This record gives sequence, structure tokens and C-alpha cells, in this order.
Amino acid sequence: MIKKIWPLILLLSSALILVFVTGLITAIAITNGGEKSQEEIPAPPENIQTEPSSAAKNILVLGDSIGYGVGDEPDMGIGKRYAALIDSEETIEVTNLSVSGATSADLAALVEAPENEAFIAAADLIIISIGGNDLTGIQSEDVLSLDMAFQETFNTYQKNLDATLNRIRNLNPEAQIALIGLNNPYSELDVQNSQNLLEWNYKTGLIAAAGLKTAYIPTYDQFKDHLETYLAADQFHPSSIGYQVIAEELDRVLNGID
Amino acid sequence: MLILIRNEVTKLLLKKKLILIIGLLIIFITLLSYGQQYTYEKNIDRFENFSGAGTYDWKSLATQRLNDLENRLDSPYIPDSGIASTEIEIRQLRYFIENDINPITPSAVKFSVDFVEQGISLLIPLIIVILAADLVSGEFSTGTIKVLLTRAVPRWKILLSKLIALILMTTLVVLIIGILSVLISYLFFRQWGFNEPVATGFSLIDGQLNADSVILVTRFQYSLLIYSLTWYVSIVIAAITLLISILVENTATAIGVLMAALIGGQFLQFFLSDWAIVKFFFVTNLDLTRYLTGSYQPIGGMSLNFSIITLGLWGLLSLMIGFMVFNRKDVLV
Repeated sequence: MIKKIWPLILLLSSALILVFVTGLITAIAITNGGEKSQEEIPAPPENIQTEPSSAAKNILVLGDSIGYGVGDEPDMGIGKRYAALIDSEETIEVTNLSVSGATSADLAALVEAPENEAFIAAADLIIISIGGNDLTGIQSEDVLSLDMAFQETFNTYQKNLDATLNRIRNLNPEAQIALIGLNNPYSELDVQNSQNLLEWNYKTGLIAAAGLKTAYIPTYDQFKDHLETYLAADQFHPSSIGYQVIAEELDRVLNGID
Repeated sequence: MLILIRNEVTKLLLKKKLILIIGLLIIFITLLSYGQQYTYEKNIDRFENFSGAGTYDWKSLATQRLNDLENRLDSPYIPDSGIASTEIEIRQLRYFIENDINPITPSAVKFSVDFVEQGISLLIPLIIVILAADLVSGEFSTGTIKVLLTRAVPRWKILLSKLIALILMTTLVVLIIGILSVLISYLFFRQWGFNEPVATGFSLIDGQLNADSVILVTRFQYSLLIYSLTWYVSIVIAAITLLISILVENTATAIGVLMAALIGGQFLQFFLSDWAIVKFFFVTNLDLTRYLTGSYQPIGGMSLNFSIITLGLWGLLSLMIGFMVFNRKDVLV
């Protein structure tokens, strides 16, 4: 019996030893970053601004998809709508650095990047919409662990937001900052969620109150009873009307009613 | 020489150790894959109850995430450092969406890789110890060493044939671990997962995880890499076990010494991770596979290269001492 399987054992083991030694060498090569078979990163689109323009007034929008204007007509968003609202004689340049899906950590990294320094330093008004994507992360938590997950998420958010605001203040002590509050796209169905969201907004308001020239722009109550018209077709992002509402609220908070 | 090796392999097979090892593996793998399946189903249940949607629609969530990531890449303002990892995540998500596989679904190959990743620092060394501990000491305790040494073959040749037989069998055991874990877990998961993309090739530069050189390989290729590392660890453990087996003349003591070293070594890692000398101990270096996932640096200054060299030195040194001792040893049986 053993005599019969002996050649098999010998062959199999020797072949495997070869395979394993090759694997080992590959593993070492990979870990030392030798092979790099990645395709080239697609070149960024060409129409990017690399220098802030010399317009009289600069508005900078930072944050997530709501800052970017997802759901709005193309090339609009809070910044452009606000610029249209204040309607001054001066030329207003709106720069949008928002990234769909960004969390507060992404934003903190974005303002740290040296290539964005010039935009922040040149802005007269910085509109920030952030936090929504931090919160979606905890939706899959069950009821018991929700509270703890919420606290943890908020603490990270607060840390990142503080870092972001500090960095902006270092680069540009003069600019007006506006933090856009979160609205609840899920209507009132889930009481626990609404409570968390209100707490989140309240605490964000406290952060804004602690900073100089930093405003908190509420959107929760504005949206609450008008979700059908204020939300876009995806039932998540604001519609054009929704963005207009936010921009008008921003105008009211910053400039009052004349 | 070949006949000597065959003789040693025959002895190893006749001791029915392989059957014991296979039995142990079957029990462990069955329990673990059942457990993983159970946890997975429970998670899905919990998610469905919570969201109230009835069915768990991972696909729309994944698609949304994919769109977000793609938009992010399109934005020219994100810092360069994030691009590589974003691209990797996009490609992984695309694979899952195109092939209609839920990313969190357990698959046979994934399980098999997890199994050796968890087992590489204790379970697999122990299995090798079972295989190798009585290779020489067993001959002494049963007295058969006399018969073996009275043949007209030099002593080093006898030990060499034992070593080669051990290496062959260790290789087979690694193969058996792979085959059993894939087959048994397939019975539970019904999902092979050979083509799933996995990210590997992380490197630590100045203590920072560097994702620039990360590449995507299929789960099958990745498992080959992981099993190669496991094999290397097993061979080193086999060499060390052979040394102990030569030194102590008693199988039970040999197993005891090695278990103490393996388990004690894990403690050292926990309690004395500030002490630089700990990183030169072989047990600290066993967990090679974690270097591939980029999550691991138990003690500052350790890397895959460092661990492989340290383990290799331990193995070579053990063999040298083993051959020296065996050549001069008085046989008083």
C-alpha cells in the first residue's frame, strides 16, 4: 500500500514545495512594493481652477453631496443660489470643493491638503455642509447599540470639525463661515432617528457659537413638513427648491431682512 | 538515500498521526464554518428586522457607495494620497455588483484564508508538533534507534532522511489543511469565491500605512500567497521541533517544551512588546500573514522581511545544532 502511494507523495510534495517557494517569493516582492500593475490614474478633467480668481467676493463651498449640489439643476447648488440672492454689484466667484459622499474626516483631510490652501485663504464666505455621511454609518446599528454608536460618531465628527475650523481660521481669520445644519429626509417615521438628528444639530450649533464669525444655518424645521417638494427624486438630497430654501435661510441668517 | 526517506515516510504514515491530524482538522473546520454561517444569517436577520424593509437590499447600498466613490475620484480637489485606496475600493465594489455577490457573504476560499490566518500562530504549529515531536525521541523511547544506527549508513544521513521525510509530510499537511477547509466550508456556504478581488501589498513607511503599492489579486492567488507563508512557518516549526526531539529523548517532554514555547511566546508579545529583544524570538514572528493585509506591526521595526529572516535563522540554527548533537550523541538504550 505504502509502496504504491510513495511516488505520489514524493511528487505531490515536491511540486507543492515549488509552488510554496514561488508564493513566498511573490509575497515578499509584493510587500516590498516591487510590482506595480496598477493602471494609471485617469487624468483629472481639464477645466479645473487651480488659482482663486481675483473677483471682488469669493464664496467657497466645502463638504459633501449637499455642498456639491446633488439633486439640484446642473452647476447650481447652495453657493451659486446664495450668490444670485445677494445680488450685489460686485462680481461673485463661487468655488465648489465639495466631494459627494465625504465624511467629516475627508473634509479635515481636504482642508489640510496644501493644494487647497489658496482657495481657503482667498474666500470671503465659506459654506460647509458636512456630517450627513458620518450619520448614515450608524443606521445599521440595532436599537441597543445605537446610543453608543451615535456618541462615538459624534465625537469623531466633532474632532474633525474642530480640526477643519481651526485650519480654516489659521489660513483665513477674516472669512465668514456658515455651517449648514442637517435635515431629516426620512420624515418623522423614526422617533429615535429624529431625536438623534436634533441633538446632532444642536451640538453643531454649539460648535458654531463657540467660533468667531461662524454661523449655524438651520434646515431641519424648514424641511420637515415639505419633504415632497423640497427633496429631489432620490428622496434623499434636496431638490432645486430645497437648495433655494437653504440659500435663502443662509441669506436671512447672514444678512438679515432689509 | 531515497529508500531511507521512503522508510521514514512509511514510519510517519504507519503511526496514524496523519489520521489524527485530519480528524482534528475536520472537527475544527466543521465547527468554525457552521459558526460563521450562523453569525452571518443572524446578522442578516437583524438587519432586516431593523430596517423593516423585508429584504436586505445590499445591492442598492453598494451601488450608492460606488457612485459616491466615483464622484469622489472625479473631483479634482481631493488629496492625492486617498486616490489609490479609493480606486481599489471601487474595483472591489464593481466586482461584487457585476457578479451579484453580497460582499459580506462568506465564501469557501475566504474561510480557508481566515482559518490559516487565525491558526498560523498556534493551531498550525501545534499540528506540526504532533507530527514531528516523536521523530527522533520516539526512536529512543522505543529503543528502535539501536536498529537504525547499526545499519551501515552514516548518522547524518539518517537524520537528513528524517528531515526530508518531515518536510514532505509537513507540505502535505499544509495541502490537507487547504483542501479540507475549502471543501468543508463550501458545504456550508455554497460559494467558492475564487475570483473575488482582494487588496494586498501594503507597506509601512515611517510607521504609516502606505497604500500606494497596493495591488488587487484574486482570492485564489491571495490564498496561494497566504498558504505559502503558512508553509514557511510550518517548515521552521518542524525544524525546531526536530531539534527538541533530538535533545530530550522523550516524546511527551518534547511536546511539552514546544507548547510552553508557543504559548509563552504569545504572552511575551503582549506583556513585553516594548522590549526590543522579544522581536527576535521565533513565536513573535509566526504571524506572517498579517503583513499582507497591512494591519500589523506588533513591535516597532518588524516587517515581513525581518520576520522571514528571523524565522529562517531559527530554522537553520536548529538544524545545525540538531545535526551536531545527533552525530555525537551517546546511544544508551
